[in-house]
Amino acid sequence: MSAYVQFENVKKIYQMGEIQIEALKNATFEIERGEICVIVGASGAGKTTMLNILGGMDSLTDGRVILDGEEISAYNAKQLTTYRRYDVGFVFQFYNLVQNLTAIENVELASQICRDPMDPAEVIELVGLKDRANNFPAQLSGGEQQRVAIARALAKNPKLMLCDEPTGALDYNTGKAVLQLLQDCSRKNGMTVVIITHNHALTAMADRVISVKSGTITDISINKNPIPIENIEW
Amino acid sequence: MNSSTVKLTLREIKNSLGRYMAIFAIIALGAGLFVGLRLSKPDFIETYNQYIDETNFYDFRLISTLGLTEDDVREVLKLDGVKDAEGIVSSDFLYNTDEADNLIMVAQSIPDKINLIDLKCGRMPQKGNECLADPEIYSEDDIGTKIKLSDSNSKQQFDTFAYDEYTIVGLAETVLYINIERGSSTLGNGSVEGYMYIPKDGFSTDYFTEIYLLVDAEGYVYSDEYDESVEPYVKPLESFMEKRAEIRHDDIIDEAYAQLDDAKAQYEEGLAQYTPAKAEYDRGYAEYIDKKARTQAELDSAKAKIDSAEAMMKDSSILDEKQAELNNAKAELDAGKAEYEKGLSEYNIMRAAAYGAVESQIEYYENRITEKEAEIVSLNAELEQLNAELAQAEADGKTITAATLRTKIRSTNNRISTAQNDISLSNSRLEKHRQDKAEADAKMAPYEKQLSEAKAQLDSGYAQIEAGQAELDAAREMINSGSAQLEAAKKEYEQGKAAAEKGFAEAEAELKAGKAQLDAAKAELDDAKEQLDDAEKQIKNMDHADTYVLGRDTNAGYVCFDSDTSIVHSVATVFPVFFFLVAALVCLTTMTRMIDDQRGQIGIMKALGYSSGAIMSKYMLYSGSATLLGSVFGIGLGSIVFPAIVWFGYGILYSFSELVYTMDWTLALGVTAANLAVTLLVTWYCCRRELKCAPSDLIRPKAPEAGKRVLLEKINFIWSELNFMQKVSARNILRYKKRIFMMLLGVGGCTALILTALGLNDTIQSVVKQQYDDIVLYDYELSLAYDMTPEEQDIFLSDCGDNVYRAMFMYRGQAEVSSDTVTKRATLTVSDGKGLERFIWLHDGKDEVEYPGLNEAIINHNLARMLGGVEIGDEISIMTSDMGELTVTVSGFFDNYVDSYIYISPETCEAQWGYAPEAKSALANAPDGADINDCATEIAKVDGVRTISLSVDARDRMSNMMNGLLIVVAAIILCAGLLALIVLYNLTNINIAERIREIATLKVLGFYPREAADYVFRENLVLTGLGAMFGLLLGVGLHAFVIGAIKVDMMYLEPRISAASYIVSILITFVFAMIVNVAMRRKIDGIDMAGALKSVE
Repeated sequence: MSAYVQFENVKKIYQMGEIQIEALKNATFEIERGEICVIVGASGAGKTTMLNILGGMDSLTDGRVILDGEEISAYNAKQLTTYRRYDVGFVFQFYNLVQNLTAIENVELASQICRDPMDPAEVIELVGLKDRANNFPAQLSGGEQQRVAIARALAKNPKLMLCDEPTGALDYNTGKAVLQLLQDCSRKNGMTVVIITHNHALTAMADRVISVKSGTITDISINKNPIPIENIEW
Repeated sequence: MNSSTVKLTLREIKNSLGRYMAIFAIIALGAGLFVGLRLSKPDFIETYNQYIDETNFYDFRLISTLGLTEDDVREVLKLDGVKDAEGIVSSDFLYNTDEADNLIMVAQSIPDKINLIDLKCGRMPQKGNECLADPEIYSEDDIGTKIKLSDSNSKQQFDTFAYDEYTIVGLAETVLYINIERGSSTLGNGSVEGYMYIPKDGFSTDYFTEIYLLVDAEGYVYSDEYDESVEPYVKPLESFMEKRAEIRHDDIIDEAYAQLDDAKAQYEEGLAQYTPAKAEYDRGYAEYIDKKARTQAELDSAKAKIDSAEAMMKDSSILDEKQAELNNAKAELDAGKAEYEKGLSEYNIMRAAAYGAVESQIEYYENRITEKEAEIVSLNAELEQLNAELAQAEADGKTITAATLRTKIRSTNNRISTAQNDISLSNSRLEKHRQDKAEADAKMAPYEKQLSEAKAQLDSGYAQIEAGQAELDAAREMINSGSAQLEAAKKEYEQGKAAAEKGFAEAEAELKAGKAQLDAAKAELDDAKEQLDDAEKQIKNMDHADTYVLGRDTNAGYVCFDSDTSIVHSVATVFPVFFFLVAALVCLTTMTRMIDDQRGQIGIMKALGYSSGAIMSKYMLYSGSATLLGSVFGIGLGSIVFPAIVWFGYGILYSFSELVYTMDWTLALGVTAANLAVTLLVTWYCCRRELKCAPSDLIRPKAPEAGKRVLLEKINFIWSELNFMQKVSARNILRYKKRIFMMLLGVGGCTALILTALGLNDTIQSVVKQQYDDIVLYDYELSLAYDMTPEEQDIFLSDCGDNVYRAMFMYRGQAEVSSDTVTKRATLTVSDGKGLERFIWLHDGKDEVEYPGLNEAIINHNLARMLGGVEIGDEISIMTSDMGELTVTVSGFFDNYVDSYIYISPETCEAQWGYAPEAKSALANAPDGADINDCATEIAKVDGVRTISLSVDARDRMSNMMNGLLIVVAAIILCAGLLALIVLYNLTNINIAERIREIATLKVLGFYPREAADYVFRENLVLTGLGAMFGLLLGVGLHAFVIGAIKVDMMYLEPRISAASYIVSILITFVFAMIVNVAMRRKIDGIDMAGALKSVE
């Protein structure tokens, strides 16, 4: 029985004019279903590239990526879109909410294109924004906006939740709350969550930690006893 | 501005070439269209002006109905200011083509000095029977073919031309016919197909039909300066022409009389020859008759002789019978003779008794008287002797002797008187006897006569008998000598008879021939006489020449060119202003977006210590250079392309020369300056807002525009009906006020321009349709030779037969109509208006217009407008050149689109002039289904018809002119479309650039490309739709404005936009929107999600 997510010798080369930049060199790892996986590394280490490839937003140069037995690295553009549509939820550093939609509408934006979405109102309540459901992003704080972003990702009921520096633009406490939410989602719904961060402190909350440096995976460690977010300090 | 700014700007341009090009293109389009269309008229006029200069287009055209001579040309050259003059022969004729018969062509003699022709191909004619043909109806392939005068031409036409057919040796254009208008003719159906140039000796006339003049005149074609400088020539030329016409008239009459006299003399001579010939013939004829009778009688007697001889030969008893008869006759005669002799002796006795001694007595007394007279003579001589002796004796003194002598004298005297007495006595006796003798003579005369008659009878009787006897003897001899002689006689007779008969026949034939000759001569003479009488009558009745001094403004091409180019100019003046507005708008959005994009950069520059001016200069340089380049490029290209397009459009009408391009530097600089001012102002406005902010604010990303609820959400029943995506779109649309504004104005402006252009097309098209379908219902307008009485009208109509279904007679002529301030030309119709609605529908919108009564007039709307806004109840005056002035009150307006018309009733003329003008015009309709042209040709032949003009021809002319205008409209539609494309592209481009994160988010969320594109384009399409709707409203206004700005005397444009135009303009807008969307979709597909989302703006 193979792992839920498999990265096999993934290589990514960016062609920048005449210069070739090798962003990923033979990255190989696995993530099991329901795990919280933290990919940690410095800026430019290639972690975002890994996330983009995993999320179907970018293609790879060589190797294979398999999710739940499907080789997504072999997908064409349309299949990738469908994959993003049904199987992946994204959370970004800068939330990327649609400014002209209220909190709940931002959630609806995602849910209404899914096959089996969660009820937007329920999700909004889940992320603790029941009272702010009809507010526009501009009227919400950064943490609230990120909660909306998480709610939007959750509402799709994805197989995989990908978070790119979800706390990067947030203050300490808000960041903690957001991470708590992500951890809760994973634990309660058994959702596979991949979090990218440069903050090594966060590795404590993960079931699996993948360290990346200059496009190479330097270490993969399994955390038998993940620490609840509230106990982590940085 | 330093080198780094320039470098930065150049790099900026390179990186955002699309945006730069958008500004460039829109400016180029606006400036090019504006300048290009504005330059069309000056270009055309310049082209025409050069053409006129090259070809020596005339200043004046002199025409006299009696023709003009070499003398006239010489004389006119002596007038002050006349530079050159040339006499030309021109004549219309009928010709046939494969398709149609009796078309009309005008032939002119090839000019050397004025109105020079331009040989297009082939060569110049070298012989009289060669010609240059009209390139409008002949092509190069026709060179070598012949143009032949059709048999339907009148004798006059055949007389005018030296040949019946002319070989085409080339094609030539002429400044006299710069457009396709070839004028009208009094022949055929009245519409001239083309022209033909032939050498002067191709005509057989000895006079010119017209003289063209060049005078010292200053000024550009159509300029007031030109009009003013030729004006002073008109009056002197008119009086010159009148003077020359008198001379010409007298010359012609003199010549005609001289010719007439010659002819008369010839006639007289002929007659003089004829008369004796006739007399001779008559005499010859009488002779012939006489001779024939005589010969016949001779023959008859010969025949009788032969017959009797024959009879006698057959039966000799006849001879004896004849002898007996003769003998009897002789016996009777002898008895007669005896009786005569007895009568004679009786007479002699009676005579002796009657005369007695009377005869001897008369003789006695006559002798006695003679004796006595002789005695008296001797006695007188004796007496004289005695008297002489006495005188001697007395002188001698011999007294005695004297006494003796005296006695002797006395006795002698006595003897003389005795003798005299005797004579008188004898005379009285003699008288008595003579009386007796006369009595006796009277008594004896009847007897004497009886006797002499009897004697003559007897003598003739004897002669007859003798002749009879001779005849008998001859007969007898003939019988005796046998039948040979008879046969000879018979033969002789037969010969004689045959000879005589032959002679008769010959003579008769000769006479007959002579008679025929004489008769022919007679007929000829009679004919000649009639002709002479006619000619004389004609000469006596010959009209004085009508003379015309015509300026260039009577040349159809000259006038049409002016009005056609004026229309282009009107359109060109108002239209492109709106391009300016749209261009400014595009510039505003583009620069706003650009500066928004570069907030950070501006902030950094500011933080680095660059001054606001230095920072701004980059953007000024960016937009300014785009504008300047766009203006230069646009003006450069537009000033060639647009005039060329319009020229191409008018090429159907005018094809006289290659277009000459001009440049109006003031206009070009003005447009460039205006463009620069607008874009720089817009740039400055955008920059200033940003530059006011602190650098720290600028460096931080600009907070995205906050979302908010829209009004629509409060309208629950609509909002709840929308699905999620529709709600999103609705909110997005209403989110960016500026974008709505831009789209509405940009797209709306384009739709408005397209609609206006299409509407212009509709309006122009409808002019022809409305004028010639709704208003002009007649087929023909006839000009008649005289004012017809009702009876003559009936005769006229029956002459026209099946070719005229119905007709109406009226006065129609040109008049000058004046309000207080303005004078305009219009066609004046004087008619009682009864039945006019079947020929001309006078209506105002849907209402019939009441026909004017006494001292009232109705005029068309456009005339009222041109007269400075005349209203109902206002007084206007009408001036006709031939009759004088009328003052009338305007009682109504009617719809009319081409030219100007005024209608009054005859009572008005009668009241003001005392008479109604001559109804020498008629409007007529052909029967349904009849061929208009065929009927026209037939009608033109009817007696009393001067000219016939077909409303179909007028319609065609108008349509042709309109078609030229449509090219202009098409160019504008194209430009409006292009503008719409640029605006839409620009707005969509900006829209996508502004929302690139949003779109990337959607893509990450798993929106298919189509869904993502729809998300953007749904809004675009809705805005395009709204913009188009707004554009329709704007377009209606703009259209009305543009139409109102086109002021041409010749026609009235009524704003009119068809339903199709509304639909098409929306469709075009949407098609362009779709094109832009398709192009933009690739851009959306190409958005790099990862990159777009990673970046922090």
